[in-house]
Amino acid sequence: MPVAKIHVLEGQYNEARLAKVSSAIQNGLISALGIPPEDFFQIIHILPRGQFRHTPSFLGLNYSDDLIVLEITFISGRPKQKRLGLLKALNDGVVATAGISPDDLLITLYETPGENISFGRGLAQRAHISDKDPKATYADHHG
Amino acid sequence: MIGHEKAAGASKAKDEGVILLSEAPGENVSFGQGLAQRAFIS
Repeated sequence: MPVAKIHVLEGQYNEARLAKVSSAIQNGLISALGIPPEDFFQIIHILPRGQFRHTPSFLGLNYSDDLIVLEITFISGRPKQKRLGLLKALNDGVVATAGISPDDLLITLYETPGENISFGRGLAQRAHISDKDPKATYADHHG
Repeated sequence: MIGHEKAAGASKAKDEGVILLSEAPGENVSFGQGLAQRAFIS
């Protein structure tokens, strides 16, 4: 169930470029986490400069107006190496397709147990996946 | 403290600030280049 929230500065990304960003993010999730292609949920926020504020540099990284702030929520339980691989895959993909600097993608991954998510009908379809049962998390289920 | 400072600056009642903290381990955050620069914080 990854839900990706994509935040960008107004005027920096036209529809075509946003489509490339969107595809790169979904492809990164597919390749790194093994989710099925139809497991696709994205929200894109295009914000005026006054509502998209950030430092020009941090930790030796330099941010331009192309900066993308990406938040992804998914079911918890995937091992650290898989999450680190996801960060790299997302950066590689977005940089290559959207033509941004590797510095210009800030990513935060949020994890939540399956019982906290409803895909519809008010049911928690992945309630059997939780932090307390790591064997039943990423290995057998997508999301 | 955040709520208090915000309320003071905006001259609003302290009740008006609702704050939700979402935490993630350092390994879940990349500040750029696809690296988890704070992976040692978890």
